[in-house]
Amino acid sequence: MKYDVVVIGGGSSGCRAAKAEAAKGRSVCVVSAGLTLQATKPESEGSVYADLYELRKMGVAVLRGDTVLSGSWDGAKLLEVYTANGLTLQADEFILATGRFFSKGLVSTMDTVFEPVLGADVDFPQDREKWFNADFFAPQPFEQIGVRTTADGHIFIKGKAAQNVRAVGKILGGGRHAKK
Amino acid sequence: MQKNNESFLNFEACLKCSICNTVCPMMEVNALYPGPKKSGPDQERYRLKDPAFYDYALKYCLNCKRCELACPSGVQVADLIQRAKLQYGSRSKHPVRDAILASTDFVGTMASPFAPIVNSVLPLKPVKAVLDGAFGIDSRRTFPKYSSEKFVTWFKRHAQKEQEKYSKFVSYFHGCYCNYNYPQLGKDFVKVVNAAGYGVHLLEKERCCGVALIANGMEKQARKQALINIESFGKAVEKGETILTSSSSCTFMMRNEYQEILDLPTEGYRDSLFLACKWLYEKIESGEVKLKFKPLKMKLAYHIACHMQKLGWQNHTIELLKMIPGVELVVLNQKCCGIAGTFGFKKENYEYSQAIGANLFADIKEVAPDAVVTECETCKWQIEMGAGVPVMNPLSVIAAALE
Amino acid sequence: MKMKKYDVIIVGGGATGTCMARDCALRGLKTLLIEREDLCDGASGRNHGLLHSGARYAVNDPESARECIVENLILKQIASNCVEDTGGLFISLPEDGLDYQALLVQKCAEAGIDARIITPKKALSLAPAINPNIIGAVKVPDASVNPFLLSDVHALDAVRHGADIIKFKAVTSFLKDGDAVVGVKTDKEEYYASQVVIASGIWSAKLAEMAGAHIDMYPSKGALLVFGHRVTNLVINRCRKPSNADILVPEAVVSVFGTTSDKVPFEECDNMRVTREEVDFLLKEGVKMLPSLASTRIIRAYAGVRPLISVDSKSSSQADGRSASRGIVLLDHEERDGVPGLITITGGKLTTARLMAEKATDLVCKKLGIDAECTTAEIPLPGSYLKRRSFGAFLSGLGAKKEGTAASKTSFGTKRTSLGAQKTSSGAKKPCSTASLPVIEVEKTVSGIEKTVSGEKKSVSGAKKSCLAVRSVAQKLCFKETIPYAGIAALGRHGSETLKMDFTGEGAEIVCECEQVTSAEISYCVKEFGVRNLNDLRRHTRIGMGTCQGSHCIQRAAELLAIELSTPEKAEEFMKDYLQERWKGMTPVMWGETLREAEFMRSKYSALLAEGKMSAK
Repeated sequence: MKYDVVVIGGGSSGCRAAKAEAAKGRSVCVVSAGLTLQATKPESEGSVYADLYELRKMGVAVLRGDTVLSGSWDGAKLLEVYTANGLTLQADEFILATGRFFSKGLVSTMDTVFEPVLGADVDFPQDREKWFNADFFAPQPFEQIGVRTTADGHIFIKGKAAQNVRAVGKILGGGRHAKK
Repeated sequence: MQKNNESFLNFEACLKCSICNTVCPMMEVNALYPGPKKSGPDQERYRLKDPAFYDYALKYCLNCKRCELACPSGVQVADLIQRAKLQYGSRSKHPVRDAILASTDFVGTMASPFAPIVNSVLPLKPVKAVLDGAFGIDSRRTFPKYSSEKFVTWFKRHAQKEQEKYSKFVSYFHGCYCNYNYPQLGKDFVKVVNAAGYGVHLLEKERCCGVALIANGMEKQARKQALINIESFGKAVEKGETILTSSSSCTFMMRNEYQEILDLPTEGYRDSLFLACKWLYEKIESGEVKLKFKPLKMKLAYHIACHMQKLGWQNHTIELLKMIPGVELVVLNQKCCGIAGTFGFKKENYEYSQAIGANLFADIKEVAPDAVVTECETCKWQIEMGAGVPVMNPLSVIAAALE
Repeated sequence: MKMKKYDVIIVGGGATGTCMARDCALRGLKTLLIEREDLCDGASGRNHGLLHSGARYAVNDPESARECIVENLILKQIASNCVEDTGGLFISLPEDGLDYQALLVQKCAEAGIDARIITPKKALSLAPAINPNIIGAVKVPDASVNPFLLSDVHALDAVRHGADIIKFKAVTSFLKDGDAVVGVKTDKEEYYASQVVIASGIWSAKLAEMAGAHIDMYPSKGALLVFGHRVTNLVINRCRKPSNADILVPEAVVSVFGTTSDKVPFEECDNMRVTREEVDFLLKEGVKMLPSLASTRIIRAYAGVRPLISVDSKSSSQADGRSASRGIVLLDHEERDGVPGLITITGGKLTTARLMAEKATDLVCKKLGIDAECTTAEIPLPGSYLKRRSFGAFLSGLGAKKEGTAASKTSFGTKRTSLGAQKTSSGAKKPCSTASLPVIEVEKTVSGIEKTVSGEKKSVSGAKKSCLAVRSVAQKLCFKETIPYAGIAALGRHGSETLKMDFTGEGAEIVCECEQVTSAEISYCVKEFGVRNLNDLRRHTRIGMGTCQGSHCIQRAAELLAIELSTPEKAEEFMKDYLQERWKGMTPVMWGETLREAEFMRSKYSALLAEGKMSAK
């Protein structure tokens, strides 16, 4: 299936990005893992479907309950991505909005942090003990961990900036959010 | 059983965020159901310690898989619950009834030769009262009608020879509903697939997919039937034929549950088994197939069945329906209809089943479509009864629109 | 009002102190136990939870081994709801060879420990998670014990026999009459006693100093990892000379792996943190025994400190805790330091707590000139119950009213009911009587869900009614009690005390889902044990000890506790304190799923955060 833009992740930042692109008249597909299309907002009948209504009304294709597993590149250009339900999505542009640790946009092991979908470069302290602050109520370093990006939000793959992949939302780390 | 006591079905990853509880349709209407989080990952840790911890209230789980879809941690909540039900036993008050409801092949084969009698007797009030009192089948529940001529019989008599004029083929898993209740669906399937330039073969041997058997605890029988199906799939794959289906629950059962619940190998055929609409859309999108539609002036409401949502192919069906000129398509918000297969027929579950579907019926009535479109036949029975609107399989819509 | 003059004051409410309070009370002594925090705040609440069979010590320390097996069998009888008789294995990895195994089995036989060699195949069928390459295995009667509950039931029994227990009060000084100790002083009160016993673990040294006596002790830190589910259902030991990181214990619904032994300064004892090195080391070693630990979620790390006594004052600077004495150390300060009226009981292990208490109480009685025999091994503790009753026990129970277990002295014991007699080097022990223990059954929910949606019960047919009537008579004859399904987890913890919990209405509401703690259990514990905060409540109920470490239940638990304690304004404080406490255990293992849990916890409780200005989301 081919679109102008594929948004990977249907949280608040992903939906916002999808709406912005659709408003420009582009064909958009949002891939959202959860049933709730806004995992961070409280669930009530209205807000679970609010984004879904709007997105559908704008003609955005929504794949709910699906996840992007990996992608294929041509140099610095991402050509297509593959989903868990067996779909191949091609697009000119991709937006990575998979969130941080809770939503598995970033995955941590005993000694490393990585971005599981596209393998984007991640900035994180090497010493595991520096990921947290002993005081629960203080800002935590792990809340600042995120993918490295260029000034306009393009991710890096092994040090090379990706041509057509931007990151928005919590995956950016450093307390940054999607550009308004 | 658990291999090496690793985190089976990922139950350890549960963060207790409780998102699964918020999407569970049973929890909303039934205070006795502990909910997916408790029934799945929570209690799994306890069941590992002592089977006595098994909670019989797990019988209320519909296996709609919404909890799994919503889970941000990838815990296979519904699978944990189904496996626990099979392992630790679900005590039923009506084991004979459950066996009858679940053995669709057997009942279908028995009923079909007597279809006219069966169809006129079943709805009679005294008969329903007996079924209700003695067997616990709720008297308010309407029954699907049986067909005098099974689909397979029709196919062998009227369609099989003509298929041989095609050079490329697909195999058709028709399922119980098509075979015993509504062979027209199979006829529509053949029409659509033929229009796409493919011939239809039946599988060498086909048995009921077993989704109802599993739900009623009849694991051995389900496994027996599954193995027969798997062997047939293998043979179809060897011939290079994609296996197509028309029912979402059957597809889901055979692609996913055979592996996740029954531990049977699916690698040999999983990548060749699809719902017909997914296959058809991909063929059209790639340009291999071109279909000509005539206008079909209908307001259609598309209902994404729970298992369809889990498969994730609803967009293919939606795009296909949008291709038909004249169709006004409304996509309903994904809500569970409440029947959950044989679940909604049982007296002790009937009211929960209806309560769960109430929201969906209200949505449908608001849209006021000419027909509801869905791949699931049990949803069809529930929606026809609950919303009073005819329900069609998308293949039937497409067949009606073909020139 | 508590009276101020006692026969004996025990300082320290860990396993030893509570066992001693019970022993003294049962022997008729006027007893006071005083503890500066909640029971089991020290090593008794930070250990492995292992009820040794003694096999671990059979080769190096046969006397300890003998003590262990005797106590092991006693506790399994008298504290059956605190102990889970899991059994244990000693597995030999290829690099361990089989020489030690042969020695182990021989020495176990000599010590009276039932150790049997089984094939690796059998071992793997018992515990599929162990390393498939093992070359040998020995089955031993190891078990898992909940030290909090063990102390709780001892404390309950002590109080029910007239002892006083004061918690949350530290001893600030000793009351002296010349050289003799005559009592203790807290910040506000003075308590007098003929004998004062220090049972404060590593803190005994400081207390003894305060009283004018000297003990050479040093703290040996042990770090442990808690894994999120029961990786095995047996205790797994490594069959080699006792070393670090070689035991896995299944405990409730988690697995605990450990441990280490490093000397640490005294100052660290009140604030232990597990380091990254310790975590890495434990995990590396653990994976050798159980490969699946590499991918099992670690929910928490914690550390406790062993009170080790230097055998002579020269060895107080030893770095490795394992060669100092771990045997039971009973110090008579009158003889040793010229300080009459003071005794210290320390060393030992959790498994031998009852024996330590017996020895110390024997000494106290001797000093007081009282001739009273120890009966703690014969009488079941509160909470003991049976799942079913043997026919012989049923017969001997007929006509005997259900009384509290305290009254069930040996008059009810017959050969058929006794579960076996133990012998120690000091003589024969009488059998533990179970005739008057209640038989408890859990109601299956199947009966509860026969109601219709409208809540009306279906009418029961005549035949069914008479069946139910016969059943209930039979139940009454067998003294069978039932508790609702909601109480099943509480039954596993508190045993027959669960009958006191009220599961009707909101009582059945589950507060902590990971550990299935209901609000009925919380109410009971608050009433019986006196708790100040959620951390105390945790000890008695396991609240917050599951995979989510409280991220789900903390708010509800704090509200409930605040209501129970009639201090509703404190709910937020309880919550904040407990969140901080749980965080301490999560941070050493904060990666993977635990890091996700941490992120979730932070975002959920962000409204409570002290500083408002940080990127909560």
